[in-house]
Amino acid sequence: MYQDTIAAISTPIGEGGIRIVRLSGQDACSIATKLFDKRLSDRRLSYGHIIDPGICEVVDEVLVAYMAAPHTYTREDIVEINCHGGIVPLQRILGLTLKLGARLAEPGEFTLRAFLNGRIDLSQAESVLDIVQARTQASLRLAVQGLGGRLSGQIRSIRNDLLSVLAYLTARIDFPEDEVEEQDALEPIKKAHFELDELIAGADVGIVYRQGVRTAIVGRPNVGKSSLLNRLLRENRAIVIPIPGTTRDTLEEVVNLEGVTFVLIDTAGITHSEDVIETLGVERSRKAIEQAALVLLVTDISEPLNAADFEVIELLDSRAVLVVGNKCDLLSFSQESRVRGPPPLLKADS
Amino acid sequence: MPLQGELLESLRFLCPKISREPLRSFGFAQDKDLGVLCGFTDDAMIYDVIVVGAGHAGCEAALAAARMGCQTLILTMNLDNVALMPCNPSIGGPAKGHLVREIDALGGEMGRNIDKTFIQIRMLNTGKGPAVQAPRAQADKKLYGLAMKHALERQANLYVKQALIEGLERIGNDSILKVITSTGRSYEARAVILTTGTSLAGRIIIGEKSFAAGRAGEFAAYGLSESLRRLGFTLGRLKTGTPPRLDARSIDFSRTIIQPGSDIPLHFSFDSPSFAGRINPTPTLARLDSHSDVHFPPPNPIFPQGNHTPWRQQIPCYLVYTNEKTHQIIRANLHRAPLFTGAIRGTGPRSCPSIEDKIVKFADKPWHPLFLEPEGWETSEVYLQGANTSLPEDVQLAMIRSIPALEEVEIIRVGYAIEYDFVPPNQIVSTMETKLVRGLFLAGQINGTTGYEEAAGQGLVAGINAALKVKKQPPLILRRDQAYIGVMIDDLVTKDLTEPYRLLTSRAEYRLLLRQDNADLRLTPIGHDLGIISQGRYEAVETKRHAVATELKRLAKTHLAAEKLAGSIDQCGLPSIARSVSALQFLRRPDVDYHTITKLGYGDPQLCLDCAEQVVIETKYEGYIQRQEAAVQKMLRLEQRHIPDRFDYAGIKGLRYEACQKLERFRPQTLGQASRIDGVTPADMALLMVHLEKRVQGSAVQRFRDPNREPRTVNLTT
Repeated sequence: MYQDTIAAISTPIGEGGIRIVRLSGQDACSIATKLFDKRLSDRRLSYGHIIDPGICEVVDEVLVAYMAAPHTYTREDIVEINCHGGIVPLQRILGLTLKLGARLAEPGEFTLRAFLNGRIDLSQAESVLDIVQARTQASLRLAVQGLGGRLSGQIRSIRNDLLSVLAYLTARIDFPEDEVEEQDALEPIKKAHFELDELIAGADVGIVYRQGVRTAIVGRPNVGKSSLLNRLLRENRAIVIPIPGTTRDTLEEVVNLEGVTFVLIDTAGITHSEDVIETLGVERSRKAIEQAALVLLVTDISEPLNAADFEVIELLDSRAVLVVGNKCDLLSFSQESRVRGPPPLLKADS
Repeated sequence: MPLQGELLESLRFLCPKISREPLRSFGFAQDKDLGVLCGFTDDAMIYDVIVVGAGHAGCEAALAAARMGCQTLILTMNLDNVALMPCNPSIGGPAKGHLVREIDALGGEMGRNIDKTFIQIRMLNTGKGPAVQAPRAQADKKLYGLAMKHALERQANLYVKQALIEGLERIGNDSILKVITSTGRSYEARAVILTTGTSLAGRIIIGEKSFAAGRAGEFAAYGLSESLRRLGFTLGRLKTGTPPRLDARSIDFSRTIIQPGSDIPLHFSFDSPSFAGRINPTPTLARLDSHSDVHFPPPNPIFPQGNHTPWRQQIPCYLVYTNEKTHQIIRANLHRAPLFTGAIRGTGPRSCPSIEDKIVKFADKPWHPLFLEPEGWETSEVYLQGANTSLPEDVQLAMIRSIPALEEVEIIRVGYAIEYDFVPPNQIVSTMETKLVRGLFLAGQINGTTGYEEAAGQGLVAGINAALKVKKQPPLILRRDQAYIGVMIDDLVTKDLTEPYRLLTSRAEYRLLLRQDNADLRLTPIGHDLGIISQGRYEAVETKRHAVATELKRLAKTHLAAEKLAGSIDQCGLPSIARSVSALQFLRRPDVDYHTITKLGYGDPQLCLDCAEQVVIETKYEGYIQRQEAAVQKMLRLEQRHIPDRFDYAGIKGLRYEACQKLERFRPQTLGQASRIDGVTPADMALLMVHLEKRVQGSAVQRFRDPNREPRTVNLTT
């Protein structure tokens, strides 16, 4: 179990000049060597570049520290890649280490290894373990809720396909005389392989998701959701990666606002036919809210709330909600004074 | 048959030096050893080991313990039923054949015994890879039991007695156990092995009828179930079944499909003569074609012989199919089927469903194959494989008579289901010893397994460990990467048993390593180390190991020159080679076998066939084998971390309730076992590791260094 090599971003989320991807395990050095254009030497900081070996492209300019076992924090080989280029190259580097055979570290796993390998004592380890437990439960909840069971549904379906192949093969092997009808076993395996490959390809994106705050922008049509989104993206000179959403009818954008990563679930940028506009709007908002940790409820502050607004408001649950009063440029001063007070209100003139 | 001639030719080709040594008789009393007992016993005698039950588990247990020098007593309620085969008359098959080879390599009796008494043998799955190929033999049931009885009677240190055991008690604190017979006598021992099969509170069900019985025609044992409860054991209930036996005289064999035995000589035991070089001392063709020296009882002429298999007298099996009419009869009588009326409460094995269960579960299948298996050389009884049932007798007859070949069939013995008590095996550890009562071992169906081979494997391990315990030596624990026996026992002690457990090749994750063809190489050193494999046999196996290794090296160094070979390769009908390759690389090609290499002039004509087989498998599957070996290395780290017996799971802060419950119930002995318990997550494992480490770091005294608990580990290179 504890023989594989783990990797993680070991600096906290937030703005900072340098972020570190840390690798620990017996393949740490060989994985880093494949990505780094300079040689690594024990207990030296080497300057160079991380190259994506697939496309031979420079990902970031980095400093890499290599510490050979056993005199390290985990008592395993450790490589620390100090990156400069911000969150996106950082996550790409992490993704590359995973592609080369490292596994994403569980919360607290570096410390767990440090303990298991006799590096630290139990009281130090126990505090980490609390986190391990808490985070495991939390991530489990997230996996179930956040993804709306969609991923597990996909996996279950692949699993079922593979199970029936397995059952068939087992029957053929273990019950050779029961005349099990011949089936093609290779095709379903190929299909599952393809589907899993697709899921894995999507998983690089998943890492980005996991690091960010999933934020839904909801509100009735024409309230200015698109404008708010565009404004958020542009104004902060944010790095924007358009990623196809988990459903076909949402688009997700990753934006880094003052060092914190947000995944904006954009219900705005979708065109739809006129006749089903209302129902689609509600349905889309419902989905977005379900997937989000934070909800931005966009209202048109220049008009009183109408039935369509309330339809969206009814969808809100106990999740963190920020109410955005948009179009405040259309507001007269006297109107503005009426809209103060809870819930927290952001004014925007997007 | 042309195949036969060709084969003999190639055998001659490969083994030109044939010693014409006469074949030993297949008589049962080969051993010169008369099995001397160590003296008179009296009531005060304390045996080392008592085995209760003389089925397949009991016989192996008793023989192993006695062979290891323990004063052993075997008790059976009916000495005429030693090693009885109350169900199918066959031994072997996928996973089960592997088990028999392993039992043989560890010094058990089953392989030798079936070799003496089979009426037919075949290799199954020959169209598939070597890992899942397995020999299976049809036994002469009566001779099988008789031969085993003789083995018991000729075993030194082994006392044999007929008695029905009704009670089991602990005597004081000095770990002596006492068994009490139905006639009131009692016997005492340092270790007791219970191999009670289906007799614990056994109840037979046929249609609307049911009655107490251990097997058809035998007593059920109630007292022992009670004793076990009183000692604190939890008992469960399982079900199994057997098909009707038919009278061969009433079968129209002309309407069946003949399933002949193997053309090629095959045996289970390394001790038995065979072409595949169960070499002892050397493989010889003399043994092959001098079958006329072998004395078998004359086969019942009622059985059509089909093609004669020249290496040995055999009797075929016969295939028939159920049809729509059969299924209609069953469906029309489901309301009388105990399986569906609720009369049967125990769970039966899914891998061996009754015919009524098959009709219900696989409703769209228009027919099911049934095999007619003669139960011996001379008997007329025929086992109807695939038709186990507890339907009422009249329905059994009607459904069977709907099959063309069986239109006028007479049933000799009616099929039945049997329910019996078992001890859910989370109550034993990998040595087969119970957690609750030290010195008490359980083996066979009492642990919820099904199958003669599964029982024998457990019996062997229980017998060995009981002996080791008495001798105060470290126990034998076979790991999942060492033997199918290890897989089975590990499954028993880590998994919840919801139906009778049958071993399947698919249960062995390292099955490329655990082949039936290398069981001797894998396990003979362990058997030898235990003192139940003779020095001569051990040396023969080591010679084989050495020959294989030497040949692999030689082939790697032998180069085939492309231009020189062009002609001969064409002759063999093989695609040509572009550049010079080593013989080993050449052997990797799917269309090349050792015979080809020999034909091209690069083989070693002295190499025994068995060795050549190993060379080919090791070469062709090298990559896969290496991958599994790497996986084994990974697993071993967890496997070698022991969890103390009384480890406090409840004291682990943050351990989930479910995991804690499961761990408390199974009390795994190693971290590896803990990881295999259903419902124990990686996060639970991390916590467990931390707390185990805490114990080690926290105390200079390593409490689990008790020599009795330290398992015997043998490193093998296969």
